[in-house]
Amino acid sequence: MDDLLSEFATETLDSIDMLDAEIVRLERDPSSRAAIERIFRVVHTIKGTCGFLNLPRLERLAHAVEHQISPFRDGLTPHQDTITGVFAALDRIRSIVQAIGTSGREPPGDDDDLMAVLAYEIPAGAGSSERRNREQAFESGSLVYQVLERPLRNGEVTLDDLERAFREAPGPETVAALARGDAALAGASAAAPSKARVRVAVERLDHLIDVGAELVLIRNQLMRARMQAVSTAWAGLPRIVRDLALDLGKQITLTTSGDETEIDRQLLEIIKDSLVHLVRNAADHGIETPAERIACDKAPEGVIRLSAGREGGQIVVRIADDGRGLDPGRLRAQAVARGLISEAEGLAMPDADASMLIFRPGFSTVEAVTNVSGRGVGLDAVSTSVEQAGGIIALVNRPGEGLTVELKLPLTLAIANVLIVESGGQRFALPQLAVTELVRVNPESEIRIETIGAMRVLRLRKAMLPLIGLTQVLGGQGEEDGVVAICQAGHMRFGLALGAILQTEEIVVKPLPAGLRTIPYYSGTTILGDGAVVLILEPAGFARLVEGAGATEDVEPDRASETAQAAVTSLLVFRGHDGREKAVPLSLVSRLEEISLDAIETAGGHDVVQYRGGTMRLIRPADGGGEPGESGRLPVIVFSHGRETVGVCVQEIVDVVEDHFDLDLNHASPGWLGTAVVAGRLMEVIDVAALFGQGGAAVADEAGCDRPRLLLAEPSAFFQAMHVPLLRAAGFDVDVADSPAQARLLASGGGFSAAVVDFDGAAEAATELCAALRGDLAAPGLVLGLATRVAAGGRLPAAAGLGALVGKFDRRRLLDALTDAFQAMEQAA
Amino acid sequence: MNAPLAANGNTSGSPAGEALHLVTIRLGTQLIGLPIDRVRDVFQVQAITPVPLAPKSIAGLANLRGRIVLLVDLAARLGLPSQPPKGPRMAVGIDWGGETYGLLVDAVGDVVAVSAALTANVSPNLAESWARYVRHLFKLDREVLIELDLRALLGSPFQHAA
Repeated sequence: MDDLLSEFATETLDSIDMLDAEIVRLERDPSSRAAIERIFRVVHTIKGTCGFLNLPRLERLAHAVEHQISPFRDGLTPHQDTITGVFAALDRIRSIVQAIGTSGREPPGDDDDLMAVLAYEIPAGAGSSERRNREQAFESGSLVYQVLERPLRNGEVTLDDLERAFREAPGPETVAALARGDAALAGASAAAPSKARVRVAVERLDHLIDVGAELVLIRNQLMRARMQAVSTAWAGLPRIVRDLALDLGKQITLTTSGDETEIDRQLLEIIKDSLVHLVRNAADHGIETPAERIACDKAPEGVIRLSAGREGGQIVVRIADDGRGLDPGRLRAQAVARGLISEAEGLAMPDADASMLIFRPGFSTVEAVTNVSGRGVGLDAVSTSVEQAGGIIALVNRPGEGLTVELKLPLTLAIANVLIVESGGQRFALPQLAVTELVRVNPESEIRIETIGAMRVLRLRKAMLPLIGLTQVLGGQGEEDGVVAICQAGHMRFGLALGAILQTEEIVVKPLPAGLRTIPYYSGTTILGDGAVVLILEPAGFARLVEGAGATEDVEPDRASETAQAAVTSLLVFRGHDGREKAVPLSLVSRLEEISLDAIETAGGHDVVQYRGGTMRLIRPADGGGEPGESGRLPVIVFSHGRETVGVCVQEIVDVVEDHFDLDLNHASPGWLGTAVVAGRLMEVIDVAALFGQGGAAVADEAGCDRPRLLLAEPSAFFQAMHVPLLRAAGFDVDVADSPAQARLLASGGGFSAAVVDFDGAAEAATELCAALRGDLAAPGLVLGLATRVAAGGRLPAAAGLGALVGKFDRRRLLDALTDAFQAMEQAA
Repeated sequence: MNAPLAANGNTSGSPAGEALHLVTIRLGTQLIGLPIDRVRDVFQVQAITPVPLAPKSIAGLANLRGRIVLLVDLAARLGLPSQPPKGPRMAVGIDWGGETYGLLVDAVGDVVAVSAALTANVSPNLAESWARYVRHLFKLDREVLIELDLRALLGSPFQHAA
């Protein structure tokens, strides 16, 4: 469709929403000049644009509305009927514009029905001279007014109105004036958004977010662009409340606060209808008639307060009325009468729960079905959509005094950390938030699957958890080969058996298509980097399968320390500037970034960039590359250890793959640890430790030349790569031994303060090594053990005489243990 | 890959007044029309992500330029024998209830303008599985064009939030 038309449709719909609110304000306060001016301006703009775009039907309507409201500018108090007529015309305009938005054409038909009501009711002789005087007072600037010596004919506009249309068309000056906070001008053009914004279709934004998914910085900016003031969701409400109050013979004021609170656009769309529903409900069921209110000593006019704000990590929207509140007793009786709950349930139900009955499907408390609500399509729709958005509804009921509905919503819908898992030959995304632990089961280990009756349970240390197989629920071929995600959903803890865990990813969450929302096992969808659509699993849906299948909780308070390790390693594959693929263990990578060439500076013979409030040293790998692509931007893999951050420039980030990481050290070269076969291809593996050796050494040397020496006896290159930088950053000079024999050889040379010994290999050899090392070290307590898996409770192999045994993945604890050991030594000395 | 669609009837002439524009598609031999203002796109489906436990008529999810589209197996939905897919399938993207659906079809043809004058009576021997999805029948020169009722097709079995 014509871009201009679709732009016009979007703009106009927004403007009309605003008009509704303004007209209600005007009706309440006829002296509100600002409101009149805004209304007039918007209608005028619509009229002018219609002429330009050749939309005769719309133009005629806008013209009629303009004529209808122009007497108000002259101080005439609007009559209720006039306002209702204006609203009817605006509604017609809205539906025509919507039709234009979808079809690109003005729909056929005429509006004579409305014209009869509208156009010719205007009190004659609404003097144009008064109007001019007021305009003069309102606007600054020198203008010559030309006086037309006859009344305006239908369809004509005054010259100054025309002039005004030109002047008020938003131009650079207006924006500048807004920025300066020029009150008069800002008042006149309040229809322009309060901040300069670019209008972008949500789909286009979503697409950008997808494209930019790897680039965290850009994405953050895009996320901000997704945010919209909450007031856009409730712009239509004053009008709704006004119409309702008239219909119901009630007096109701709607107040709002926190209008500027920003919410994710998508979330806003989802809750928009809920707000309408809740406000309608408050007006219809909450607020009493004036007579009833006076009878209970209340002001005849009821108040509905809408407020929004950030509280903690969420957005809280409140809809509070000062009406009659909920009567839990009556709700119980209603629910029993409708068969929603049994009588016994009703009796046992606390008041707070009874209040929540209003959100049950099929619940309605009104005996008389009104025009407004109570048609059976109840508040359950509200709770459904709020839950869909990941939010919670809470009620604060004050019987006789009013009801407050609280919607607690997440700050944003859009981004989530997930594990990409495989089951039955298909990929799914499992929200990491719900996963407390990943374990690999093994009949021999203390984590194993047992069968109790027909049910499979997972024995996890001291706990027994219900176990659900993903393929067992979703179907599909393939066996779960022993990887279990321990999930927590509500109070339920259970194991979800998976085919494989492929990678972790930060994804952009997209809503589940409406047609799939009845399936409880999915919460949304996402598009992965390769363009594939993947379903996001809903752990709560799986939890319901095993509800009541009692899990025995473990008494182990500290289970986080034991992170299970899969036999495979996540490797980041990138392309170096020689065009060849290379790899690095993902666990060593702290971020992926793109930097602009312009940002590179030189300091102390190194390339550096400003990065996150500090500087980052850039390394162009030993392949001599480092030339940027045509884009002028350079992908960089960022490694951080301690306070040092190093960026390695690469040509391209290729992928993250899971593979057995078997390093061949025979092909080591400076800067490269060696080679490994990753995803069937031979790749060089970057030597992360060496990166920190290069430029970091100078800094370290300044810090003190008597750095304690530490011996790391660790055969796995992977763990060497992981621990050496860490230990260096912690202030040690690290010597690495690949075997116990080499360790002994090195240690016999003396000069070591501490040793860290691998305990994954043969325990006897490690124990012997420790015994030998204790003799060689300055202080015997400084031998530490490292094992991939440390049993909770940490029984130390007694013979080894270790200071501590810590998990290989638990880097923090390793450092803590070393610090403790040194402190103990100093105290002893 | 599109099976050629015969130029259907002389409807292109001069659509008088209230002409209805329909995008024509084929399922097997049947000619079907969809209201043009609902058709967002016609696209070739690259990869389908199946949705376990979904109704049979849902073929899965697809990525249409960053937009997630629910693919409806139109043949299955209408109770027609499903053709084994040969190569990538064509789909018609329909905007409905604020979402985009992709109707899997065998071929996509021209836009046809039809007018009320061409409306035929709902044929009594139309299979029952069909009848509820038919909005109008248009008698063209050589065959009958069925305009699908999107509300019946997409509105009833799927719950829309609003």
